[in-house]
Amino acid sequence: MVTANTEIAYNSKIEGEVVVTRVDAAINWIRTNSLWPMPMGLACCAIELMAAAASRFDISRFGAEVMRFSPRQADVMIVAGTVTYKMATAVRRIYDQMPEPKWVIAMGACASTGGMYRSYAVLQGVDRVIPVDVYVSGCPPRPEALLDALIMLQDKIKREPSAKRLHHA
Amino acid sequence: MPADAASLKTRFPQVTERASLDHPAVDVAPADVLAVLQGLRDEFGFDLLTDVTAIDWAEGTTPRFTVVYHLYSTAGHAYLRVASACADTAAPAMPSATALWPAANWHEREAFDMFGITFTGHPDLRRILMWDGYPYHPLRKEFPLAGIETPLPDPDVVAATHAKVEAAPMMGGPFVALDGENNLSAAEPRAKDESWTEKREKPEKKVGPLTVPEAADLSSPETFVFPDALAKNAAGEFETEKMSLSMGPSHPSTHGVLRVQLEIDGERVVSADPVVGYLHRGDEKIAENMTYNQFVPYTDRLDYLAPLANNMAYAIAVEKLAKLEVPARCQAIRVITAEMARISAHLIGVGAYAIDVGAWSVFLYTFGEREKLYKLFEELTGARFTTSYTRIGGVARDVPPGWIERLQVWIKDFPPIMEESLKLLTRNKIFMDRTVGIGVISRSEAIAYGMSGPNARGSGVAVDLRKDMPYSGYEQYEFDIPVGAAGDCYDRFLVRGEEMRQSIRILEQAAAKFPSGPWYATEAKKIFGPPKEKILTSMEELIQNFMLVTEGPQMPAGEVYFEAENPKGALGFFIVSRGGGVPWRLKIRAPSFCNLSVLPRVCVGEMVSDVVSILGSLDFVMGECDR
Repeated sequence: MVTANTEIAYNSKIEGEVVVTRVDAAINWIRTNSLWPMPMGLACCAIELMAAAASRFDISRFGAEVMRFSPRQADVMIVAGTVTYKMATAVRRIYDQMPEPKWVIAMGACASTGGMYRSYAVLQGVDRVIPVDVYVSGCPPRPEALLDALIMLQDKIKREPSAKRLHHA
Repeated sequence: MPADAASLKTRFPQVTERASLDHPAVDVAPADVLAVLQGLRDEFGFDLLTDVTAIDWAEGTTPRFTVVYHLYSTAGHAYLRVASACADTAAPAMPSATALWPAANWHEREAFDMFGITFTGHPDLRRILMWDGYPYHPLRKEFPLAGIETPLPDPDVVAATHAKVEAAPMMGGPFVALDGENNLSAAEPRAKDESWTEKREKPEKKVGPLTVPEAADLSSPETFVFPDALAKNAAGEFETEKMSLSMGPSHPSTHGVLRVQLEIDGERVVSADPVVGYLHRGDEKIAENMTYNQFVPYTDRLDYLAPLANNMAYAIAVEKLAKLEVPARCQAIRVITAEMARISAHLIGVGAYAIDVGAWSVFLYTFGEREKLYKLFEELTGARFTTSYTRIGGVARDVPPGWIERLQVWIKDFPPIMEESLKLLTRNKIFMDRTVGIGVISRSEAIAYGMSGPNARGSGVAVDLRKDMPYSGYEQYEFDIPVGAAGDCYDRFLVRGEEMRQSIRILEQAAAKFPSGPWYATEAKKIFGPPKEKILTSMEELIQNFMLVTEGPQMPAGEVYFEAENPKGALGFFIVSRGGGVPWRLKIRAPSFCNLSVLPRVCVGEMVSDVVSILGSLDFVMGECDR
């Protein structure tokens, strides 16, 4: 049947210029490769976070070089360092200010569990105040470990039912 | 005037000699403390108050709290310890030394925060490391290391997360909660939170009706004049509205979790109140609960830009307590690692400063060089920068074969790259506009605020502990101390650049005459562990190692204070030992803490954007500042 709506069906004139995909896959592909980090640099791990962003490790190979200190423009919070109780409330506030969808990487032993600082002042794991997607071990983790966490997070994002969430939002 | 305890006693009859393992020390009654301190400052040349802290001798002892002052003479190169026992054990008090030295301000706030000692006459006795309203004083001996359960200070966050301060999972603690006292939202000034999220609605902006001021005949340009605001203000008809601006604790230019509470009038800063303690991890309390060797990794994380230098400062402090000399090879290894640490710290200091004032590429240059240093560190210590390399009485392992040669290759390759990176800034018009004449700290102010390191030298204070009180064999090396003339941000930057050149000189000399011989104090069997292969084959060494691991290196009782010239300034360790393998009290005198205390003075009158420049030029590390 010939209709006016030929563009959706096969059209030899635009062959090769149209990609057919699922909405989920398209959204996730976009999100995966432009993760803008909110560098929550709290302590020593922040230096390795800087190393990951600097010339040798070059986090921009994974589309995550746009460090945004404004949480409004960030997708993934990288909690790099010891979260003290005094700082925990600020971390939570900044997390709250990030727009959905948002993810969190707990970088290093301190952010994951309190690490070697089992003391009166240190929050024993940032997951007590914000949900964490990826934990990275190490004190501090090497930049490669952070990049690995980023890749793991990208894999996770690729599997998310983004379209359904958009519909329900 | 010489400052031994005997000559002090002739001048001040009220003092008594105090037992000390290193520097002269005196005891004074609280009533006389200010008079003695003033006399020492004015007559004996002890112009720098480097540290004020306290010791808790545990519940039930009288006197329970002793306040300890450490003075340094910048001309005479000597330290002096002045101690004064608080009379009251329940409500300890001590007269405040803030009138003599502004440096005492933050130190006394810290002693108040940690021990609950009231400094009478202190202008602003608030908590500094813990938050306002925190109900305990953590460094008191009865306070458990794990902490005591209390509510978190922010009610909004508590409502969302149900988080609270919980005892760390290692030992119990009585359930104590004080409601209502610690509401951080109310206690600390902050901007009203008008943020909105998915859960919280965007607040409606209330816009009043526009009012057009009645003017003269607007149609005729001759008769119309703009209302003369200045003339009106001179008559006192209105005053400018001041705005409070909270910078941090998450801000790209505060280099960590510093918060500066600014009050601004237009673009001018009227007052600046740094709020520190966001990275207070309880290092000093942790130190009281572990052996001397176990604390080495924690020193890495003080100034985490130069862990090797911290390791060395700590090890030397404990060795002074043990009266232990390390062999020449060990000293040379420590000097080499400390100077490499200095270069790597200054590289990041300069690179991050460049980012602060708007130049990105310098950071990429300097961090590239830092990566090369990391490679050398990794070959030597096994870690990129949390190295934990020194041990009490030595280092963790000897230099691997070929390492010195690889270091020498780097020493040759580095200077051209360093010069190129510095050249990007040194005569850069934008950089100079942002730094020259900004944040001027005079020589006398730098001393009064207890500043040290490149920041003090930028203000023309020619103090360098490597030269003035050489340790670890620094007296064998030839190097110069750069000093600034103006004391502004630019001078502090120049001093850092020059210090890197001088460090290269030291490295060249140290690598050229790198001594052979043992790399740890072989005779100190109760302090430095035996070699691993011996532990596995010999019973005696096995027992020795077992004792060292379980009991810690055995130390005599006494007090020592040692400061090392770290990249950020004089890093001091004050150790109070009662014998055994665990310190009774370990106070860390953090240079960043002292250097930051000048901020309320130096920011006033500058523009808001200059605060960024000043912060960057002070080059502090919060891990060390907050401990």
